[in-house]
Amino acid sequence: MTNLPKTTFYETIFYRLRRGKDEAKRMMEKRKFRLGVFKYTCCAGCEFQLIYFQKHILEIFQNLEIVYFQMGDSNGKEEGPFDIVLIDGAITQAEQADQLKKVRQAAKFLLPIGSCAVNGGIPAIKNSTSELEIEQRVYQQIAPIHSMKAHPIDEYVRVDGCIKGCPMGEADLVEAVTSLLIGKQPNFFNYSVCVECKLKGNLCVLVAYKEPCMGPVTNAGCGALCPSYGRPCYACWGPMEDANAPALAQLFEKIGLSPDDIYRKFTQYGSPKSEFRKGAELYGSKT
Amino acid sequence: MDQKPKHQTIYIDYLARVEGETSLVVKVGHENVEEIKLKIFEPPRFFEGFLVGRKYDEVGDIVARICGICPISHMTTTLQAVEDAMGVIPSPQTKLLRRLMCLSQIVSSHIIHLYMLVLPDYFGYSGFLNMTAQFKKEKENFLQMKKAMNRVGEMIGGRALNPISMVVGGFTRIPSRESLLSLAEEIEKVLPMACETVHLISRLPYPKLYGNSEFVALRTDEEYALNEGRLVSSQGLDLEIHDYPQVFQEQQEEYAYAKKSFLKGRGTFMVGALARVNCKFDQFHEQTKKLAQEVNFGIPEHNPFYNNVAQSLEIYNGMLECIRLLSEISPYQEKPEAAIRPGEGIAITEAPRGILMHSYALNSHGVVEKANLVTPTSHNFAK
Repeated sequence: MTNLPKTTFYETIFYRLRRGKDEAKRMMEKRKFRLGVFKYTCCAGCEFQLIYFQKHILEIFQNLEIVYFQMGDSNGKEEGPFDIVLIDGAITQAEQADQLKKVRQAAKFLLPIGSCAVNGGIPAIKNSTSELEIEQRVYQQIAPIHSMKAHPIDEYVRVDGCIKGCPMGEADLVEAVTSLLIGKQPNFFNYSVCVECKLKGNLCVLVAYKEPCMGPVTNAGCGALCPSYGRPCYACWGPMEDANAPALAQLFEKIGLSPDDIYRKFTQYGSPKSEFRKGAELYGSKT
Repeated sequence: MDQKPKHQTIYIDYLARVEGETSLVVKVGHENVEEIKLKIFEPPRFFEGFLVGRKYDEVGDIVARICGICPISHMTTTLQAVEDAMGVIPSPQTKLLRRLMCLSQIVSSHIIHLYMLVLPDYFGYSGFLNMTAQFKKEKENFLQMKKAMNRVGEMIGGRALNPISMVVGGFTRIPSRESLLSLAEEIEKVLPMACETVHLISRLPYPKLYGNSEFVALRTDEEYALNEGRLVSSQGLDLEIHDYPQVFQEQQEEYAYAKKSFLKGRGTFMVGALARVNCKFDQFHEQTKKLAQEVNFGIPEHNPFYNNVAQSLEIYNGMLECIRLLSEISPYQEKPEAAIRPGEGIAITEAPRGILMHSYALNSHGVVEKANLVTPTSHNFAK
């Protein structure tokens, strides 16, 4: 994968909102927003997370008409049209990519939810080994298996923002959906876990205990959960934009991690994303 | 009008409100069903493939992402399998906290299944969200119960979905006694709702279906086994969990990405709530037994539709058990301890949908060399 300069999410949202603001207002008065939820390769945890956010989500759902949500409703219209589409999971099959492109065309706003959809997540760990080898480890006959490397949603279609987390964060989801409902620009966290950790007043697990914490390069949103529970962050929220992974990787070497350990730290989440790959490549020979 | 029924094939392209992507093909002949194929086309994710080369301390976090409805079960199973391989013996407190986590998992999974996935079918709705206007009380029960059970996962595990404090050797943070007692109080408040759930679920019009399944579950002498014990069945199976690979066999089908599991020389079997209740009804709390009697549920029950009733009983019993454990426990501070040692390990736990097996081979750096995971879906698939 080349490292193409991509439109930042803010630019996209600005563009979409400028174009669609009046239309969105008119729509709001007439009828509910039409929601589609699609699931690709993942654990479906983010879909369940939708249901877990009972405090806000039922309120929000009252303003939405569910057009497609296979896990929640058996009457689904796959072809849309949709105002908001949430996509759960990474793309690992050609059919998924085909459907995704159609969904994009039928959707006004399309947002990947959760680490798999945003940056490949856990399914993308396999990307650092050849497909054939991976398949042979699991299946005796590989002829009926049609799978390919795990890619995030924005490798195939334009996205209008990302709801990060594994499972996705409540604050991000509520912010995104309410913003789209009222026609404002969503304000996502664009800083690292360290900021949240400092605000909480935690003792730094990296500095004080020399534990390999991924917090400095990981996007905020979880509330510095792991360090608050006395363990180093393992980057489940995925990389923060423009994170300096090589610097952290070198620090890990100083505190005594082996090259293999460092490689694993940077490939557990978001392996196709350049921010983490730069850290992994310093120490990994496997890619 | 005296026409003989023709051969007919029923296709269902997508089974909605089921976790996992599945289609169903049923071939009906003159008199009976000739063939049923459950085509599980959920894209494979190759966990057993990419876990090779990962380190023991990250495997728990990775496997939690196998299932969005039962991450705690996968995590617990892996932690126990890794501990088995490395010769780590978890403390009694760790076992107890894991049992609480497991109970919260089973109960909340059953709640989601019964209310969101089952009820709409029996009342003729396409989804639970459409039902909420007419079923206000049920909606309230559902939300309140789920909230209380999620709190257990949040308080002990740090996060209800994909908990973070559970690691090899123990818990990274031990909750205070006060917080555990407040949890017990919260669950106490929703307990009557669990009782209502049992009454509601047991009154649904279930189709009559008889069969003679072999039910497999974990069992110990002391309590309703969840995370440890021997494998027993309704037809006399009784084995140590380390013998699992010799007795169970996996088989790949061309039409599905999931594999089928068989008992060697015995054939298909069933796992899950109904299997557990059939195998260890005697270990339910007395109140649960009384409740089961009230709704005319008795064992052995072979109708698989009654799995729903079994789940509702497990919700009630699980809450009782949570209250008991939460009020008795007096937590003390301890740090998770584990030293790397090469070896092979296996663990079996009761996930919400049945027994779940993980086994690993670790090398001298604590890196996985071989991983094998068999889920409840695979165990039930052949049946």
